[in-house]
Amino acid sequence: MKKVLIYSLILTLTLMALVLNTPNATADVKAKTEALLKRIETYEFGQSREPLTAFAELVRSSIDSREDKKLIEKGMLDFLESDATFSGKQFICKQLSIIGTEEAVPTLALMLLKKETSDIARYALERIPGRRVDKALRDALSKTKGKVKVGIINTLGQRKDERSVRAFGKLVYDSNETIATAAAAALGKIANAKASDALAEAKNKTKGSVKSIVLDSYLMCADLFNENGDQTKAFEIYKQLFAPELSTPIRSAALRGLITTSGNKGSDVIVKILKTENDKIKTTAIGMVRELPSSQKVDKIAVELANLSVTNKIQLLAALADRGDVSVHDEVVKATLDKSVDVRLASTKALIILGNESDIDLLTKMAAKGDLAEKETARETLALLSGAKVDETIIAKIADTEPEIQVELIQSVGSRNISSAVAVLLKTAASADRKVRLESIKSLELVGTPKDLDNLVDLLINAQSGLERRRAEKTIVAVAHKIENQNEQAAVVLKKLPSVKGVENRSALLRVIGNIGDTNGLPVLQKSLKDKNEDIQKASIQALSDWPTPEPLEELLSVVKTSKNEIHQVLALRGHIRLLGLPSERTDDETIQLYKAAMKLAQNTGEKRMILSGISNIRTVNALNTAASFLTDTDLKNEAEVAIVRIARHTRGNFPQKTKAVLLKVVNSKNNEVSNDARRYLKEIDK
Amino acid sequence: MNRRQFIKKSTKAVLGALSFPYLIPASAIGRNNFVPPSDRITIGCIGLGGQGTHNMRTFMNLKGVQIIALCDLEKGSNDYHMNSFRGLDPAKQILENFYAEKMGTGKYKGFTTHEDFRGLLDREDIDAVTVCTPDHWHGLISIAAAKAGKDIYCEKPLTNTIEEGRAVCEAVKRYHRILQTGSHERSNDSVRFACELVRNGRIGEIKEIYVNMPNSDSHHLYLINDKTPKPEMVVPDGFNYDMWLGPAPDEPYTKQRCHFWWRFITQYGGGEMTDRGAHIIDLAQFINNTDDSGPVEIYAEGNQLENELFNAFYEYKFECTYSNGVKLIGGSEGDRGLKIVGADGWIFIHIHGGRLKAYPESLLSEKIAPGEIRVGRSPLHQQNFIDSVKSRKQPFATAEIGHRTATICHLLNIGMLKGRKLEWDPVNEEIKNDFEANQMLSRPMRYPWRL
Repeated sequence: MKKVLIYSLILTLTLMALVLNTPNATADVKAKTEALLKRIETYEFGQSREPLTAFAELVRSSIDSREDKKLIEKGMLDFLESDATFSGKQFICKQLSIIGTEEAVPTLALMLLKKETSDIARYALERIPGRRVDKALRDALSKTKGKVKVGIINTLGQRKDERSVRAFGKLVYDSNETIATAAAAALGKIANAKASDALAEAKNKTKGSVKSIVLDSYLMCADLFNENGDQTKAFEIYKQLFAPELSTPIRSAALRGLITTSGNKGSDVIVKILKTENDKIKTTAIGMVRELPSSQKVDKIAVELANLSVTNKIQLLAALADRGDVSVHDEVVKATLDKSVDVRLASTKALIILGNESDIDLLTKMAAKGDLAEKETARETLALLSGAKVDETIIAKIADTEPEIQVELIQSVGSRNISSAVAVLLKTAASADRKVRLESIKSLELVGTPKDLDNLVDLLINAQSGLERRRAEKTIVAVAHKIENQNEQAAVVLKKLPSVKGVENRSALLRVIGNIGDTNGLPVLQKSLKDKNEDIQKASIQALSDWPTPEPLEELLSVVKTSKNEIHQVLALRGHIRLLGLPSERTDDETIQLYKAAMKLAQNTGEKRMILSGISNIRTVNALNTAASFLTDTDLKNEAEVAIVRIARHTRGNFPQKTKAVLLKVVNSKNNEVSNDARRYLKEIDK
Repeated sequence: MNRRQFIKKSTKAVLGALSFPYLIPASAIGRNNFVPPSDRITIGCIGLGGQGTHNMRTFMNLKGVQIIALCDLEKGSNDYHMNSFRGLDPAKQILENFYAEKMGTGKYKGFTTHEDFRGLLDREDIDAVTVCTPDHWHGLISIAAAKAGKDIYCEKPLTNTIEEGRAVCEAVKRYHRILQTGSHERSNDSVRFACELVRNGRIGEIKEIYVNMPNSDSHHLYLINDKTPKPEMVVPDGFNYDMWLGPAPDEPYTKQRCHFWWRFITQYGGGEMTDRGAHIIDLAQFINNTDDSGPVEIYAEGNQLENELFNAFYEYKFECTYSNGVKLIGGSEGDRGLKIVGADGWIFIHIHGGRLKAYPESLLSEKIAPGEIRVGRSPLHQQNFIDSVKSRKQPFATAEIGHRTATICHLLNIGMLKGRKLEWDPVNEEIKNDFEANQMLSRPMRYPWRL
């Protein structure tokens, strides 16, 4: 049964295919072509393009049928010979350029000679393949002048018609400069030996803009010879074009070719240029350092660093770094002592690629004692310096150096993420030097692991200043967050908390628990909120305010309503407002209600502004109207306006009229950004 | 002739009064950030519409950069996007005010203005140019600039056809120039970080890259619903329409053919595909490490705008396959951006701005260790260009990179026109076994323009 079905299907498809290729189908294409062309006959720009689109679709669908294409082409050629409009003929020529054949030549050749239709005929002819097309274009050359002739030369050049070389060799001296430049450019496109000979001659006999094009075309010939393996001939042309009297762009391009065709002497050519030429030509030579074959040594080039201008030095340092040949390391290091700060920075950057562990002293010294730019660059280089022994050298040097350098080494431990340095950092975190201690705690944030948490909590407890304690809090939170299971992130801190003495340390750990956000920490914070000590209460409010979910909303609201401590009230209200902005299961309207309630509790403008900022994140008309209700409050007017345009951005599409009503209230705002946005949105709505 | 000896020779240029010092004194560029005149990068801005003016403002604020020439064939018009007043005169005003304030003199005329870019390129004292014209001009101007020895900051998409793109790459290489394509999303720190995460295997082997390029902005909606007639109009005074058309076929002037809206007419631009596509697909290329190559198979289908003037594709879906098996799957829906899906996670990059989302979320806290692949940083795409002009190190979005990205955009448009799968050969840059599709890789040019 299955087989029968398959056979039936094959039979049906075969029959369908036969039907599609029957004379009926062809007649259909013919009829469609005629009908559409009839409609296009009177087409003028600005009218409906519907028949054009339909015709393009017909051409597209006929692509696979030779017969259909032939029919359509025939129709198009008849059309071009008719009295159809220029707009219609231009459209048809575009179609012909896609599917046209040599059959189109007689019709297009006639059009080519007429000033009015030459350009559109050329549009079609340029892409139609075949010798008959080339011949028609060549024949037209002698029969045309001015603008039409220029177009034909351009098209022959585009088609790389080698049989036009002789004609172009003469036309390059034409008194009409546009014709002469077109001929010169066409010779460069053709770029065969004869074209090259013609250009070599024209190089010495032309001037001004014609000469510029001749030289460019001559270069193209050289490039093509080079590409095709005739390096001797290419080299000869490049040498001619590097003549000192020629323009810098031509000389630069020629130099590039000279170096490329110099085989294993490319680096010698560069050295010679660096010793003798002007800075612009040196720039090209330096750029070529990147393109020299890897077998060529560049150490001789690097030696020239000392003798170059600042601009060229910077360029050569970048090129040497890109090339990545470490044999130039010592020359680059010398450049780090250059008089010019820009050269010092460029050489320091180059060490990222070309440097090794022997540069660590140089870099740490620059990072510790250099100016701001040098510090930044040296630190970046230290962070990225490559080499198998760099990490171990940094660790080894930490213990045995002055504090200023120690700080830089410790910083690089963090930026390089050297995890094997944790033990050393835990020691330096207890250093006598304050900066060393602080930097160690900072780097531990980056390289510390969950198994180091115990030690990190001890660091916090033993912190010698408020600053160190706060830094340690940050480090512990970051390391705790490296634990995959969120419910275990605060385990070490929670375990240690009961045994920790002193309000400052207990407060710090409570804040840590809040920032970690492990659900096991929440009951501890809720309990400590009721502690007798006001500082512990304050730390608990801060911790709950930092909680990553809106869960402690009620606790904080309760503090706002019941606390007698004004600072606690303000802190709790701010926390409450922050938590209102976090993702939740509430509806937008419920959230707006809570913001409104908070607004009633807010005593200070600061908190009121925070509330408006929160409202501005809700993308509803209700939020828009709520924000608008504060426009009359002078203290809040500016924030209300900003909130309105922020919300309107999202509501203007679905609720244009309601949005418009509110936007009209702020369109004349003194805040330019607000009024501009409002105007823009109103304009869109009115459209 | 050097900068100090400069005396304007082009008669085509409309010279600003040169009674003021031609080079701004060092003090005017910033007393605390002294940059000697010889170290300054001098710039000429070509194309001063919305993006061109934006780029001019950005460059004029960069340390060590001085804009000394402006060029636009529009003197000034309110017909740009959102009715902004743009063109040569408003740009001139901005520049005059900026430098006058810097100098503390109340006026400044130390730059030339040009209607024709060739006049600007004649100035030998210009180091670099910005090319912020409509797309159909990018290729020709960039090539001319390279031949004139200028470095180039060219807006994306690099060119309007694949053939032009290759010609730009060759000219830039031949004349040893620096070219930065204006695909500035590439310079976002977050994008470069995302690239490093992917290239260092943090999401495992890349499987698919999903690209969202919605046509839902107000200007898209306007175009989709637009039924207004597009009659032939009188060319406004101060607008050189013939030059605006340049290499494109001769067609009558109507307002919406030009400023801003040109991008939705395939003769001059490629619609959203080459507009924001040139940002989003560019990042896919970057992250997939195929900057010098492209997909080998392209299938796309879509609907074109159908009215008297606009014909770009506005609804589309597509699927491209790279030789490494990675699929680039896209369409005109979703949040604008791209999602790179690997065996072990994914990263979504929002366009514009580069905001990241990832799974697992912890990816975004990862650090790139020494020895791992790094792709560099720059504070700003335009600054990256200036740094390259100085050091001659290749910028983040070279000509080749811009060309390869634009190539995919163009192939997708060609694929939609053809309505069938294209087999692309990224080495020889041709479509296999499809004569008609290959015809679309280039476009003949109107007199007297040529590649």
